[in-house]
Amino acid sequence: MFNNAEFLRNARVQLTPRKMIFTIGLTLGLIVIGEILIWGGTAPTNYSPADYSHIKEFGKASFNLLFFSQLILLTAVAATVVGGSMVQEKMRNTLIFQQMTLLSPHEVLLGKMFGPTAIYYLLAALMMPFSIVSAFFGGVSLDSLVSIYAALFLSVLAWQAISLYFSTVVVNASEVTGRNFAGLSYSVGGIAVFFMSIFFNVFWRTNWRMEEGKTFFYGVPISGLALALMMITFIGFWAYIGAVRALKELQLIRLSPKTIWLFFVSLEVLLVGWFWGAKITGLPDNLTEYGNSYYVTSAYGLVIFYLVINMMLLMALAGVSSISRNQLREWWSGESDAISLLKRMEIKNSIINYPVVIGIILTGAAVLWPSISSALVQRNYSGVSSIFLLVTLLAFAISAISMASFIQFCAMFRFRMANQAGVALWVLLVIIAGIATGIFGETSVFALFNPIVFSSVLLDHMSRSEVGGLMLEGILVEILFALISIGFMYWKWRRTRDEMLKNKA
Amino acid sequence: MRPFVVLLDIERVCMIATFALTKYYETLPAVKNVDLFIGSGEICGLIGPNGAGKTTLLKMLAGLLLPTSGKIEIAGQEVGAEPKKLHSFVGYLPDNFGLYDELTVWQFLDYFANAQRVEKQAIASRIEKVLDLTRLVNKRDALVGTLSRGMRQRVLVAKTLLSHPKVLLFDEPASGLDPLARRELCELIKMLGSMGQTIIVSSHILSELADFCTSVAIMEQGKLVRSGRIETIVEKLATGISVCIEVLEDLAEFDSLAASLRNITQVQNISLSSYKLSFTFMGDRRELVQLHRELVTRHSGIISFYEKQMTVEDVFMAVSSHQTS
Repeated sequence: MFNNAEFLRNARVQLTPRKMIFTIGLTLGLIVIGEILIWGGTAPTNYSPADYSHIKEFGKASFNLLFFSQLILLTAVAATVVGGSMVQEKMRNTLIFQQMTLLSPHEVLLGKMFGPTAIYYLLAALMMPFSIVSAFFGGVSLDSLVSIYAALFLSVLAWQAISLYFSTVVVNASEVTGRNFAGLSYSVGGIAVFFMSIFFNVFWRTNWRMEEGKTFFYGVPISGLALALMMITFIGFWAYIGAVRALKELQLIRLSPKTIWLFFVSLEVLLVGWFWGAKITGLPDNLTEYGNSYYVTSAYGLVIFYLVINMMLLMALAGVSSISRNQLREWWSGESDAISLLKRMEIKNSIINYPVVIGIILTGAAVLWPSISSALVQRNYSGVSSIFLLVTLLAFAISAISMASFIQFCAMFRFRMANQAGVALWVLLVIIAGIATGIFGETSVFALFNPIVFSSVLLDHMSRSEVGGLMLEGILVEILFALISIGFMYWKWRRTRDEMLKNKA
Repeated sequence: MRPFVVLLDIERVCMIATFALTKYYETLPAVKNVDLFIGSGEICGLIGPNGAGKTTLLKMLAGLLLPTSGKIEIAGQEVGAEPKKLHSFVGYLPDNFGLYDELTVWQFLDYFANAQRVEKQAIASRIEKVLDLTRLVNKRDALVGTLSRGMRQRVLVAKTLLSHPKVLLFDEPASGLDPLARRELCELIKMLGSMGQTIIVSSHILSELADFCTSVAIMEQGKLVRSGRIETIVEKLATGISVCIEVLEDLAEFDSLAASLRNITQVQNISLSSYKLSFTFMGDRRELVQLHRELVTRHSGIISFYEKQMTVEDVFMAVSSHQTS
């Protein structure tokens, strides 16, 4: 890090001797004042210096204050500073230096993550001895202390990476989109404090890392905190990789589609491990009081949740990789024949990415399904036939294709953010399908159009005789919607090209 | 790196080559089918009115903008394929730029020397050298934010020179500079040219280019109207010898001289302005000497008689249709 030019440039401005002396002095002063106030505030009415409970109360309160100050410094302040790092480059007209730099994207981004925030890390480190002493007097156990700081450190890195991701994406976006979303990169710090306060509050109250046997990963019991940290690390790591890709795009470096595949592979590994059937076997035995099918509903819920998460991410992928009208018009102006356009790397990547990612998701589901089925057998329910798995996954895949076609259809409209509008419209369609389920019944055409509703209807009707007809009907509805979406997309594609050629002529 | 030879005006190693380079902004052509070849060591003036596509072309050459179609090669390296590699030997100085104002000039250059992978032990001497070249030695400890526009321009040049770029791209470098700073910048570009660097300078102020450009590329509405070494273009454009005569402030003498010229069949396009006559002589130089002798013998009021060289401005005026896109 100390060889990283970007880190040194940022740190050079932040860590001037005068600034450091002032900040360290001020922090130490505030700590002393805070401690004195806490000591007074926790003192019992009948003051006795030898009262151990007073010291314990003081230690606890002091630890809480110091930890919360570190949380604010490292999440709110540091994440906000990182959020502005790339946006500032654009505002100051220095972005060109980042585009033409010979530093690797990792060096640039790590420099931006830790350079401007070095002073906050320093202050947090300065508070650490006081925190440890307070924790000791407050009766906080050593492993609780280690756990809470591990959680803080990992989550701080994750939030900074999220901030950095937004900051880099914003400068890469068009002028208007960039202006609209610039605030978002600054607001990550605030959002971070909100979520982290809840997270640590829950951690503190329930001490949930001790409650083993409730959370499983691939059937192995682990603590809730370990799973939470795994998720935080996953989000932080991929936010950072997203920022690296956005910077590479800014530097006109070709992006490999394999990163997207790896993202989905790692996501499925995490989700499958989390939703593994042992979760059902690990549930207490007395839950049938909530209904005979409690365990069955929970098991199907896991499958549906898996599909929902993946559908949302596929939607985001479709939104990001759709080709805009402006791009098409530019490419067609250069080379007006349709075949040469299909050779463009951006289109090729979009076309290849989507089926590969769907394949990864379906493989994950195929791995998850048997574990859930066998968990139900262990709970004395009948297992799930693999024909249901096939139909559910087929419906998911067809629906994913119609979704991508629909979003691409919308992206070719004249609006500035047509692809985002496409995503929003698709979400609306899915919601309408959900509402229609309530109005027209769960086997209506509208209901079956939504693959998630279809999957849940299918799982619900498994034991009934009409299930064969329902499967066929659902698949036909999905295919019909897919054909309509593909038709619309093709029509708009042709129309955009004809319009462009007409204008050119 | 593959040095390649393209037939320019004379056979020289080509440093910058573009092949059918095209950039559209949606359906608006900013640069269209540009085939440009610039030899090593040239100082090329990229001329054109506002909106001609100069900045777009320079950004594509710097690897900052993807072309819609076509190909660019700089020192045998294809731009776009490996932009990182390209940035080690192409320096781009934009028209509108910002600097890290909170750093001193030395810190600013130290950051870029490290970022551009200059060897650690060579950094200090390299910075000293570029400070000396750009005459910023006495400003090394000044904060960048406190410098004038001209000085900031020089800091940017110094930063670009740190990595010994083979190609320098200046986009409207003189805009916003006062006459003195403009003069100093011209001197600096001339000096860089004399050091063998290939330079493209875009401008629409033609007089500032005339001093140091060895070749020109004239753009109009995204198209390259003419390019090559100035003397070659002049030679191609010239349809005779451009001559200028200055006479004493004597109206009778002036009229008589004009009348004499009108009677000579080889003299065309006579223009008169305040005791100064300009015309195109369609004969060869030997005949021009003859004409000079005759006129001086017959008209005692002639102060000077000289062949007028075509300037960059004349070339631009001759080939341009003066349209903006």
